[in-house]
Amino acid sequence: MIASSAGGATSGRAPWPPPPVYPFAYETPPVSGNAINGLGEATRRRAREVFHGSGARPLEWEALQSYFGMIVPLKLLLLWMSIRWAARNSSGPVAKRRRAFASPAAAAAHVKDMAKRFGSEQAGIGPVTEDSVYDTFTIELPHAVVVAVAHDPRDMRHSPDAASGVGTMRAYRKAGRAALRLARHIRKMGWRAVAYGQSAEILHIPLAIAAGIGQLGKHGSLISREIGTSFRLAAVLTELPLAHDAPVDIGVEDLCATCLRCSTDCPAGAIADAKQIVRGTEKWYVDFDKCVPYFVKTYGCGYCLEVCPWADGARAGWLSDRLLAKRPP
Amino acid sequence: MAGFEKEFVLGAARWRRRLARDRRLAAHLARVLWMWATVGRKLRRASAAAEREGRALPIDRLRRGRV
Repeated sequence: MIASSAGGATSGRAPWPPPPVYPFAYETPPVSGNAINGLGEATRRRAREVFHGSGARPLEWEALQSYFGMIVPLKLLLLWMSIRWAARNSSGPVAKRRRAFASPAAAAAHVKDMAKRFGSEQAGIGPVTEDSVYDTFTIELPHAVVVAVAHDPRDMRHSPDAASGVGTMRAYRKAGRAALRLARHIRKMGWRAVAYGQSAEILHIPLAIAAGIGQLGKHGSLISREIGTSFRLAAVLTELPLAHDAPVDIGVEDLCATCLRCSTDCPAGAIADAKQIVRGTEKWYVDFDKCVPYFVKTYGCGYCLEVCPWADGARAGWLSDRLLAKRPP
Repeated sequence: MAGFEKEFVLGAARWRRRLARDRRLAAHLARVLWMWATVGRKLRRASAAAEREGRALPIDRLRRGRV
């Protein structure tokens, strides 16, 4: 986990991006995060918590997580605290009288409209699948409303740096607020609903893929046709019967298969150029053991998101159209 | 979600229980801030010194579950 050589700062200026030389190390290295994530496993199973845990089980990488919490700048810590404080209302009382909708499609249209009003830039609805809940949790609510909020591009320009980490937390806060307000709105209509902002029980990306928000990119993050790749997710899980959106194909596979931008630029060398088998599914995978220590060192590196050709939300739609048009009929 | 939040049963919480939850969460956050300001300060200094000197700080000596 600890790199041996220092980065080359020959001109007297600090190297940019910072080299993967870490000011910390485990005396006894923990089990590989890739093993916990199921890299190379051919059989399907649910995901295990590995970092940013819920407290449901002691984490192998907990020392690194504690270290992260201690070294972050105050601004980032205060943002995290405000998110945590707001999240205390993620569930709550449900109105006794239920509002009925003409159809699940009508309910879905209403919920998406409200999500946009509450600050979400994109919203999708999908089923809550086994793949989207960590193995230590059981969730009874069958439908997920996934909301997405884009980063401020001015913050992400600083990546990998504390400023981009602060920008990321701001996006988390906005997405979390949208989910909290939407969950409260659904509960007022008489249906159970729980908001999951920056929470550790569910995996937002599988939910978002099922809800048609976007496709998984080579850098392990979601890519949306509407807002590109630089955004954060939150979700509301509910029992309100909702029509589901279908997963989308916007041409991400066509570009990621040949594009080397994130894998070349990743300072930690964590992004592979080929898909890998993870818990019985072939998909893009980022090396946990290389990515997370660098992520901690830089207070939340998002370099791969910044350099991605899909990063600019305004260009993502155009790029998707071009890629889909190039496909053979 | 921390343990005390799991006690909060959906739709069955009364104001007294919600108040108790809010107080416990506020205490938890205050503790996190205090840890960041005291232990974290020492750790940030030690970490910066280790980085300058090109050596690594052993982090598994940190007490588990404090942040």
